[in-house]
Amino acid sequence: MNFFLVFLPLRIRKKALERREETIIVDRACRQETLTYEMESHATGKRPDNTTDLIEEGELLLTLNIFYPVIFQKHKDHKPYQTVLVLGSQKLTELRDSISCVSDLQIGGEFSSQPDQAPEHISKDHYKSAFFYFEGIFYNDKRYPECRDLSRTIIEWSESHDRGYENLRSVKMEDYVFNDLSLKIGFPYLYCHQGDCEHIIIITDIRLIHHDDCLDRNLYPLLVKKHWLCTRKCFVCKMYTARWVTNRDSLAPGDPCFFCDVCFRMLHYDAEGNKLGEFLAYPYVDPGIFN
Amino acid sequence: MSAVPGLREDCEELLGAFLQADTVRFERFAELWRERRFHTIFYGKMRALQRKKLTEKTLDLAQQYFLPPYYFQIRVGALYLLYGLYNAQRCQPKQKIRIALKDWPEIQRFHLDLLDCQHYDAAYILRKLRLARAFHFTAMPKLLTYRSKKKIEEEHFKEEFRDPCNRVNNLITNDILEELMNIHNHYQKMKCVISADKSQPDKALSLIKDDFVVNLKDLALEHQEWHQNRLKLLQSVTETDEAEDRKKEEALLKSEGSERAGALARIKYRSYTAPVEVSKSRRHRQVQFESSEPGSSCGKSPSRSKKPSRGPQTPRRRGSSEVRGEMQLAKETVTQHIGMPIIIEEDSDGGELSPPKSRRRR
Ligand SMILES: [Zn+2]
Ligand SMILES: [Zn+2]
Repeated sequence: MNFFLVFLPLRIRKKALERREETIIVDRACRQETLTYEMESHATGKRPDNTTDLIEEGELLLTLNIFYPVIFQKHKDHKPYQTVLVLGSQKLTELRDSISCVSDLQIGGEFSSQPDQAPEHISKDHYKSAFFYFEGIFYNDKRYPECRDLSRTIIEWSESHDRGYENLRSVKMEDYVFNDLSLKIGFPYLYCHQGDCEHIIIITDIRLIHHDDCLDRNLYPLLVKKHWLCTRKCFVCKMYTARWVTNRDSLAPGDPCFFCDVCFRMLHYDAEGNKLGEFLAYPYVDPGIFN
Repeated sequence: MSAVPGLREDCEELLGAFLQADTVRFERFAELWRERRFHTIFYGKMRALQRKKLTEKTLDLAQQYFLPPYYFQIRVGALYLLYGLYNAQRCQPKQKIRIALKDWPEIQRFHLDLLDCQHYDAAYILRKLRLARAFHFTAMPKLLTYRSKKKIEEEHFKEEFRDPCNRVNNLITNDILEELMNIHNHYQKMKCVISADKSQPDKALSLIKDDFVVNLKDLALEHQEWHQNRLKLLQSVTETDEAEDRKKEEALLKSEGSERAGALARIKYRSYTAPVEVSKSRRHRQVQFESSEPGSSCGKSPSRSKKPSRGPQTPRRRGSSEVRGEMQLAKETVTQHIGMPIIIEEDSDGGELSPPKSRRRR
């Protein structure tokens, strides 16, 4: 054996580490990195309190990337998305209920005269229709009587124009579990809610459940990654996340202008709650609210 | 998988050393591992997230060499490497080795091969990994990740570890010849039965050439001989620089890059000299292949010894689509045909000699 050989191995990897040492000035986990790791691993190895909730061997685990509908120029290369894990035996509606999107929380209307009324009307309660689209089939959420078949217009459109999508069908989302579907890994599918809020869904992995995974059925769909969206801060205190946006505001430095709830009320109303000055006020839900 | 600097080189260096050691014993691998202090591969200041990523990539890298088309020996080495890496990793819980659905039958076959060749140490390690629940059984080999185009880089795996396949040998294997021989005998008997003279078939039934199998075998032998001569030639060309008159030859052969070709040649030569076991089920009707070529010594008949061998035995594949046909037809007397023309991929002349498309198993 060559005497030198003993010292040669691992030199390359070691050199790379040394180079890293030299170039890095502050070697400290940033907040985002810590959070990402936290999120990825927070449920690992968890077991349910109740044995009936224990996931059995042989269960399938799907990894889904659900993309946000926002298309900003800065997201040209990196489309923001969240990653969830779902079980093969879970209903599609369980996934639907777990997807958080600002458009579900959007509050319609102008509330400058009665700001206290605002938070009670959330879009999610108003417009409950939604569908998934997988492999030529629309899975419509029909759990509530007020749910509409959002896919009907699409199917009618495709049929009337002979678009080459002949076999589009629509079924009830609540009747299907993921094991029922035949899916392509890496193929872009769709989740649509609030009429036109469209999220691309990509299945990135399917595997058997493992002993070290979270085995508590109740914790699925399990969110393991999400994109941090930057939040809009209040223009006054520059501290809290904006809850209101105003237009044509005689008291504001710009149009539109964002305020947190406290600053908004202090500036725009007197002690008795009377409106001061001219402005239009809309409740604002920040995309970063789920951070 | 974006490259972790130095990782691939280090893993390949270790596997290369194992290949050089010309063994599949775990003992030897462990020595090589320790000499290199390979467990330190996961050392260095790393935070949890980074550690997880690095481990993931390392296992992913080693796993690739565990599957075909690499040498049996490299695959065993990769198995030991996976075992070492899996246990040396510092993640909690441990990162798992991804095994795709399509690869699992191949691994089971590999396991049976290990048992057949009595490489019990390797079989034990594989079993150990399974019992430690070191595998994730996945639909696809890799977890999909999306990046912008510019960052995607091609991966280059070490060509030298690749099991070279000889198409002719792949098609005409011992199994095939045995099978053909059997079918032919059976056919002959059937013809006898329906013939007037029961000891010999009627002339009218003589529709194919009687010596078909022998001819096929001879052709295969010839091809193999030619192939080996060519390899030897390659080898000698790269190893000696004195031969001026070989320069031309070299230029011809150099197309693949002579260094690599030389390495391949050495490796190929070794794989042909590895003994082959005959599966038990077939032993009772094993056909002895002998060269019928006049003037040449006989081909070695396959080794029947069941003693555990210390050398890296290349097992016979069963049922796999890539049946490797080391036919063990190696000739002792190899003449150096320097002036021999280089013909790429011979075609069999007779139409009836075309090898069967599908293999029957019973
Ligand atoms: Zn949405
Ligand atoms: Zn404020």
